[in-house]
Amino acid sequence: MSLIDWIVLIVTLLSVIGYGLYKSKSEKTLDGYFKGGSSMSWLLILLSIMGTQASAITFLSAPGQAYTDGMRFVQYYFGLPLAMVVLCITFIPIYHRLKVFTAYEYLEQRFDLKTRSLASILFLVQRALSTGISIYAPSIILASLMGWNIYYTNLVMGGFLIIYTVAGGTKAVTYTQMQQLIIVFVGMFLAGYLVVNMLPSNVSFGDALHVAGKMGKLNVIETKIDVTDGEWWKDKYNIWSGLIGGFFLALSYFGTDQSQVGRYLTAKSMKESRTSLLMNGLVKVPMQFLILLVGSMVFVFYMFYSSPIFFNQKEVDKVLKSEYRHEFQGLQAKYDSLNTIRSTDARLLSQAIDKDDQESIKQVQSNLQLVEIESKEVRAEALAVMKKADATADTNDTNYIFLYFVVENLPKGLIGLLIAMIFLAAWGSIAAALNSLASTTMIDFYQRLWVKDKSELHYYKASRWVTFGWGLFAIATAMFASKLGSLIEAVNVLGSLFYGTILGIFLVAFYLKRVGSTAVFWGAIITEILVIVIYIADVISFLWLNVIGCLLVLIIAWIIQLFVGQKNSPRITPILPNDTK
Amino acid sequence: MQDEQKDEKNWTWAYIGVVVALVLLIVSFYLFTKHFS
Repeated sequence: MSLIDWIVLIVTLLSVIGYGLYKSKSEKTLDGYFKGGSSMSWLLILLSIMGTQASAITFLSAPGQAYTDGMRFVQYYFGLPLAMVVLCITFIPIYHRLKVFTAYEYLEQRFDLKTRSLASILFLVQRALSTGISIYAPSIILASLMGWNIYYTNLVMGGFLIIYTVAGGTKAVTYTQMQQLIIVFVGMFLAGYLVVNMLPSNVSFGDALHVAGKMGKLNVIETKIDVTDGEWWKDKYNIWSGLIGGFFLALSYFGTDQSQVGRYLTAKSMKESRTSLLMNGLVKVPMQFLILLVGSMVFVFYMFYSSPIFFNQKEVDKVLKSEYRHEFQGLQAKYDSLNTIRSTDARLLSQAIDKDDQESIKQVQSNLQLVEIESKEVRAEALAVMKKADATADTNDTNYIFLYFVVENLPKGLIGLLIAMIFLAAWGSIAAALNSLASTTMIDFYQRLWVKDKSELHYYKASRWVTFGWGLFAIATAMFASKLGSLIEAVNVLGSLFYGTILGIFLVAFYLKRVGSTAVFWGAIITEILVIVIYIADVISFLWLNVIGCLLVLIIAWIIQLFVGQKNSPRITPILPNDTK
Repeated sequence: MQDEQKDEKNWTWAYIGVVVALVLLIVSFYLFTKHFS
């Protein structure tokens, strides 16, 4: 990386830390520290919600996903706008009326302490582990591509944000997320603009779209439905799993995950919370579409210019140092010659599209598809050689594609900005996660169970220490993650293992008025075990686990309540979404 | 009370707007996929 890139990177990161510290003055109370004095506008909350959801992996993985699999990943977000509407109608009025700090406080009012604690623990376990992975996952990509030390990269990825997150709590997190998201959007826009600009001079954006489409990379919508086909249920991204599974996932994530609930509880009014969520529902899908489009354009770029056989150079270097290097180099040469044919055909396709010569388009398209198949075969052989050289080699390079393109092709200065963008995207979601881990620990355990009746100042100071403690835990998890290997993928779906159950508890609270605490508690425990069994059996895509988990809690809790009877019905009159006062 | 009812009515329209926007988005994505394939 050049000096100018280093300067851009360091100045950008330091400016965010400085801004975070500048904005860290808050009232020394729990309300000031965890809710920012309930003073935020909808725009700030919207950016905070988006900054919390979009981690570094979002910006690294999504373009790579479009490169390899096309744009169908966007369907994953189709259920989100619908979930925002349901949240505005049900969850938001309750949280605001009760003036809660955490989502789980409501569960004690509706059920009892043990149900509240169960939901809090499920949240803490999954969020604590996934925060460590949110540090490690982008760090390993940056470290591999830039030749950096993974441990130092982990420290920068997860360490610096602790300074302002501890100092300023929610307020500092929210304001820095706004700044971070603006930088991230500028970076992505410039990358998108430049990738189109770097295509051959006679290839317009329209031509590039047609080329991408002919190569199957603009497949936004997949409507195929076949419930009798086991493979269909395992398909992660189609309109049905996106609308139904995505709806339940988004409802659970935004409605019951404290890292998101904590964002919109900072609103100065219920109106601001609702507006921020509805705006999120409107902008999230188009935003994700544009990020994926950048990935499709990177694919078109590599149609005209030579692409490497494997985007993770560190793994390539390893095989080149092994006894299998000649075999690998032979495959590399074969892949390069296919690259040349592909580039020539891509130019012919672009010319045919310009002339609207349908016959030539079909002819070149079929040639290109044959080249693609052959390239994939050669690549598969190369990956097998990599595995022979090192059985632990990571042969999935999807997350490396976009950053490889950035580092190899973008001008000096912009590389620094794009790498800063990765750090900042990570910081935004990690800071919100630490803040929510701290608020749940403090409100649902420390203040509720362990240390009662102390002063506001005591709880404020304890909150800062707890935030710091979670920060250290997340970094330690990230450092340890390098030894986890393939388990990292399992941790990535961790959310879906717990979200369905937590959402089920809340939906029982809202809609099954007769179901009491004992029924929902055991319903949730049984469901959690069943969801883990279904996940291990690997019969269904993880998105559906949210639906199954949620429905199982509703059904099992209702059945248990039939046996338990009236004596375990709610102790107090439950507060429900349609109550007006 | 009347203000509250009016406010709720406005929110209902906002919710309908979000759902309609999603439907329009999905339809335009479908046409986009068809057009460029």
